[in-house]
Amino acid sequence: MLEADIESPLRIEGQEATLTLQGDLTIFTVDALKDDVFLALNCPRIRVSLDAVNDIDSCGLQLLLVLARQAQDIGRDFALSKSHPEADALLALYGLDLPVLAAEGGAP
Amino acid sequence: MDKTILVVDDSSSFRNVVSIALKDAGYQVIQAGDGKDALGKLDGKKIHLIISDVNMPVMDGLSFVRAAKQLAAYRFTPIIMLTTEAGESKKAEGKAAGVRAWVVKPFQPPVLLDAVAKLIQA
Amino acid sequence: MNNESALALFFEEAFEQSNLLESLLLSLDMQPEGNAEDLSAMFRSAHTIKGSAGLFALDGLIAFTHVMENVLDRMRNGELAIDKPLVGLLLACNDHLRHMLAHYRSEPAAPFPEDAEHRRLLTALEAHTQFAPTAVASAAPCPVAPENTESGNWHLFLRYHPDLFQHGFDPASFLRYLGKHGSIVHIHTHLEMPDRLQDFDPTTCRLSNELALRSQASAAEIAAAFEFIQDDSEIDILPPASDYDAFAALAARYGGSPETHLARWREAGYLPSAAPTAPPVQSPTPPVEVAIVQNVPQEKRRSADRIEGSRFIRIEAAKLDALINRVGELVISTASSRMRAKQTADSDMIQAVEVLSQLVEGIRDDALNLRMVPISEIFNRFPRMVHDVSARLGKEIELDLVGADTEIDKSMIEKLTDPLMHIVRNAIDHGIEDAASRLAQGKPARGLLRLKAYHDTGAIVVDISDDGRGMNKAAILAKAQERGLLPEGRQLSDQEIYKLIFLPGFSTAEQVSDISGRGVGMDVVRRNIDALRGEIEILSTAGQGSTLRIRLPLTLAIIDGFHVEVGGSSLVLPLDMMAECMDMPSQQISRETRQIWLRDTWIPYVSLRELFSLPPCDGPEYVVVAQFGQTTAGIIVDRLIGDIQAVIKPLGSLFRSLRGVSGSTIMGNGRLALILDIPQLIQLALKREDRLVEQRQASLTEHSIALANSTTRTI
Repeated sequence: MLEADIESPLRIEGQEATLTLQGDLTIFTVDALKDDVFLALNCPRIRVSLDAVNDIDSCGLQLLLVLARQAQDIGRDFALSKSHPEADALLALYGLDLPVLAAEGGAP
Repeated sequence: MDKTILVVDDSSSFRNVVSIALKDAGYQVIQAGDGKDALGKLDGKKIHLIISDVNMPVMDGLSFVRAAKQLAAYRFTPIIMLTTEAGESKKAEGKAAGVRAWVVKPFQPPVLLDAVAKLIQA
Repeated sequence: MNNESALALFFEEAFEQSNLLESLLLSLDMQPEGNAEDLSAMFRSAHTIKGSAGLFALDGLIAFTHVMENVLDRMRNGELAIDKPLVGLLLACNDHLRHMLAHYRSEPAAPFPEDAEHRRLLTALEAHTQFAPTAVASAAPCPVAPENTESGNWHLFLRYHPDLFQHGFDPASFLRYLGKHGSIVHIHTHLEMPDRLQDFDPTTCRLSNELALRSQASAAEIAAAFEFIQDDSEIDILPPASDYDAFAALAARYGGSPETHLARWREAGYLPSAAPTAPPVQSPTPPVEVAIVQNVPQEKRRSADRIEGSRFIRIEAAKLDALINRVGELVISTASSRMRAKQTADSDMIQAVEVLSQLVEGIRDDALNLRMVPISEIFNRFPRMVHDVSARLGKEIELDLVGADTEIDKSMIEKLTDPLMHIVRNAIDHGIEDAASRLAQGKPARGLLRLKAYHDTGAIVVDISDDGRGMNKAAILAKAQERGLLPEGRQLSDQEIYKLIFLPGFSTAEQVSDISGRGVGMDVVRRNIDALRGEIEILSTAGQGSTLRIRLPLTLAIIDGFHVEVGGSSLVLPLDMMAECMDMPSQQISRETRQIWLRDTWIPYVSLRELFSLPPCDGPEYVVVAQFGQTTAGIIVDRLIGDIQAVIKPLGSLFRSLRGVSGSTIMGNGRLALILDIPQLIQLALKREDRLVEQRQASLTEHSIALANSTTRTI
């Protein structure tokens, strides 16, 4: 449960890279996730699903922030596929936000 | 999901009182009577915080922490070490082992809960 | 668990720690160099008591153990020379600690009255601590900064150390924690992007925060949120209404262009429009620490042979007693079922009940075993006592404890302690000679006192041996004569002579010394042992020492018994004292001297009909041969019924004066049965045998073989 899934969370279909993160997005998993997460930057469109994430900490969030910032810097389209309550709460605490696709959790 | 705290102290009465306070604050608690016992409880289950005494028979707190830090699943688990004024010199050793959070014994439960709140939230 | 039972547990544990500390101090007294492990364990005892006392706010106890702990810590670190006065002081402190524990146990809320002794001990302890006594640390706020008196926000600048995450911290927790003190009205999070993604270690922290906090808290309270990271991370806190210069100074300390920072802060509304004065509060002042890095020896700990909490469960004694009572009832009703099953003559039923009763027997043994505790609970008190008493008498005595792990019924522990203490005191006072006379006799100057516990045929035996002068038969006889305790014109065996010391009125004022004369004579010892259904035997060799041997039954609660009947009444004999049963011999019996010829010797017998003043039996009679220690006697009954488990109930006052009976029990059929006191019956038989044989000897000269036999046996 603490280890990242052996199966890669990254799926690339055409122009779009989808990162489906599961379980923990924490300091215990970021190392294992890092390579796949940054591979997504090869695609013009990057979508991150946090639906199956049940624990996220600041270290895990930091990885997403680095990805989002890098995507922005090199002109990629980055977005979370859906808002995630725990991630939202953490972002709010830091006064940050990340682009979200689905309307219901919408970006401000 | 309730967060789980591992409380390691050789005094069972101490563990009991601390456990009650932590449970009342909404945490799950696992107890261990010494470092070796505690290592046995690190079996892969998720533990969000370790509270450990320094002075214990069989395996002291710092040896335990060093051993725990070798385990992938607990490398970065927050740790609060309980110390005494007399144990100040242990802090240097603790720091080398990666311990930064210390609470000085004796304390009353709110003091510990306050320290816990700086590391994790129920 | 409520607070009350938590407190009860605390006291139990604290007393245990205190006992451990004492035994370690005593071994230190013998070997002043000490070993690292013991010294650490001693420190831990004080440490543990202090730590737990803190949870219950027992302030007096905390303060006292704090000073003890400091001294023990310095001993552990080799900073203090360990000598007898220091060990003596710590022993006295440990005694005082127990007083304090006893006080708080009865009145947890009342402060401990600090008497002269308390102050004396504290002063003496503090002379051994390095520093002047410090107040016990609490969450006392450090003296920092003006209170927030007017409206306006605090501004916090948090530049986290890269290892922050790895140390188990999460800035989010600190931010949430700040919510306790107020609300974060603005926050800016900066992410320091890594230069190259492939070199990026995602477990390092690249975040920093700047925030405005609206709060009525003090600077110290706000700073306390970051107490764990203040050493590594850069935490700057500007109180409300800090002036522009404070921000400017901070911006200068930030890397990069100060202007950029100031512009960002201006935009966020941090910067004051006017310029009121208030000094910046920088990183919360760390408590002034005198860094003493010592060569702390790495504590080595091998196996857990001292306190191993996790292997034991504490159970309230009352719960255990309730269980044992319940098991007792179970045993009785199983016996009753068994009887009924036999009446049905249904073999399946009988078989099933038989299995059931075997299981119940197992449960009974398990339950009784729960009450068994190592006799070390008593033995552990002796090192201290022997130390004190021998020091006072100026004798050198080595105490040897053997078989301390022998298990004994918990309920016996209390009742056995006082008698043992008394016997040991006596041995030190009267048994073991002073060094000079020992040397003169060619004995080592140091006397040997040995307490030995072991199991022996259904009994627990405790031997108290010394290598002193031995019992002086002549002196005992003279004293007994003087006190009028001697039976007239009677030759006494050695055993009988020794046992004179147990007679009430034997110990007298003349003998009373500070040590052994505490208003308790050996007669009280005897009574206490009797109450435990025990027996005392004395072995002694003049000039070489004596051994007092106490035999006790394994348990007080349930016995395996043998059911017999006399005059239609049920009686139970403890099975472990039964050697054999047989028909009453018509020959080989001497009714005048109440003796039977058993194989190659005459043994005395007691007829229970006679004892209970019943008419003689008209049918056949049976003999149960009973044994206790080295003594044997026959007990004559009407009928032999069979094995039975008897749950011992105390005798009602009606039966208490009954001779030869030690208790009662309820049978499977619900009827009351008396439990025979075999040791007493055997004694009775032996005494009467002697008297009768003597009478007979006076009138007759035949039966010389019998006489010889009986005489040798009584020795």
